[in-house]
Amino acid sequence: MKFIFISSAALALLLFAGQAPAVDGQEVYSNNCAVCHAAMPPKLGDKAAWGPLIKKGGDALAASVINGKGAMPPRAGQPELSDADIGAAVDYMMTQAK
Amino acid sequence: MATFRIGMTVFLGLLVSANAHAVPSMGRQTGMQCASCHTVFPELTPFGRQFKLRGFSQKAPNVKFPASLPISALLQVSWNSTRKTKGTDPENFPRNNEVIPQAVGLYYGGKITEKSGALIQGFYDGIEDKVMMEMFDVRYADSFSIADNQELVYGLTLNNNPTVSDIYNSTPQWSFPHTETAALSPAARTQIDTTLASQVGGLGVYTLWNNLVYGEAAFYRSARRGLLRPLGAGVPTENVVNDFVPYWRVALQHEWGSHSLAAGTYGMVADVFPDPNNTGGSTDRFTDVALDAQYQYIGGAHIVSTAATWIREAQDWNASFDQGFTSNKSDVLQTFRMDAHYYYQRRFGGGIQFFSTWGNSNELKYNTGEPVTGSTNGKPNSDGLIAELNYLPWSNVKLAARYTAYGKFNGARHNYDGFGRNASDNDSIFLLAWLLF
Repeated sequence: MKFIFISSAALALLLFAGQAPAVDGQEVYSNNCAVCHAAMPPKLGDKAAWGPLIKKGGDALAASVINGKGAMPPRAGQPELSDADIGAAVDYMMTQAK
Repeated sequence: MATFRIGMTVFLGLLVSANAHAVPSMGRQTGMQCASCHTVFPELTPFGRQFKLRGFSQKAPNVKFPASLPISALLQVSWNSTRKTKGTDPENFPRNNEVIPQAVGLYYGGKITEKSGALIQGFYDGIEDKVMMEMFDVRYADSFSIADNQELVYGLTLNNNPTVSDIYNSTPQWSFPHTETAALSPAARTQIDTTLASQVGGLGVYTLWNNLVYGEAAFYRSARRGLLRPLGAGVPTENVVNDFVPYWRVALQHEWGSHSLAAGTYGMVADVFPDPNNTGGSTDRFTDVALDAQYQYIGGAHIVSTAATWIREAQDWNASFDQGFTSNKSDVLQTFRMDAHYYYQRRFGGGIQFFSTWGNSNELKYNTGEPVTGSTNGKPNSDGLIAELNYLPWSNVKLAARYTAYGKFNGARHNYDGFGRNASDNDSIFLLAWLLF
């Protein structure tokens, strides 16, 4: 019994070790992106504005955020945001415009 | 004691917030690093221009008191040394070779309401030894979408200097070298070239259509007295304008990738009394028309920016000629400036500027007979170069070393004042530590 318990625990550790907790795109958006995208184009949920951007794909949009483009500062002006954070926020904003 | 404790709490809160973002109140308000709005302060990035256009009012929802307080502070400590001052009147070279607190100031910088905000700076001027209002720009802004998903941003601005409301760094108020020094300046300067700073107050409307066309129109009045007096508080009245001064501005801008380009025109018509203490008679008319352009490349580690402006001022001496202050009934005064800058990782960098002002000879106006400040040939011509190196150990601290070299000063390269002084005698070295928090 003891062996089974230890083995299960070890297996669980192996399965979940190295997996980062899932990023909440909505939370990243609210804390970092809303300052602009609540008022500036492309606004959250504006299907007409997001339509052409969605066609470019999430990876391309995330790259624009990471590197900066036009009025978008590099990493949205938040250097502490990881690529995963930015990807999750982009996914959330794209979802809101579909 | 309680007031002191509250004050200390707020002050320490601001300092902690400043450390978190290394920027003053607008950075704390948005939760963004200062590189979002500035290449190297005070030059604006495309986002910085948008933030200003939208009334300084964008605020991150998770920013709470005291980080949300729109108060910042400024400290500039400087040292200036002019090449040759021996045997001259020391009044022409105030604070020469002295370390001085050049500016100690407070800003209201940020949001007022959901759609309004302000950038107001009052400060102690260590050169003039006065407390004064330097910048005042209170604005309201909103936007709406029109056909084909095109956005139109519009706003109102109440400010105290034509071009202080501008969003580009190619117009006079926001152009390089950004900080004045105690060194001697040439005698001639056009009215729109910050001559009316803190001398007037005005209300303007502005718009940016489709992130492409920027336009602004404003009317200014003298801030000598009345409701507009606070906009020039503490500033000695040197120029009093009559009635309203119309100001206009149009620019085209384009952004692609890490690049941005803008080009435009601006100008104003000002009727100015020759004597600020006698505002009952006729006035001189100054009609300024200017062109400007700006280019920026903002890459990951490298920033390149350049700006240029040309100002042409038609001077009609309707009052001064009759009163015997000028030799001509009219003159033309022109200024051209062009500068280029490079920064590596927003930490190391510098810039260089060529500047030139030229115009008609006007014996009575410029040949004052004074050593150092006069012009023996009566010409307003001055030109030269400014080179500046910058180091930013933190994003809110800028250290600068500047050298200004004159080719001509008040009309000539050699013996410009008739007393043997050369233009290069006014060359100067300027060291500056500039802290914002």
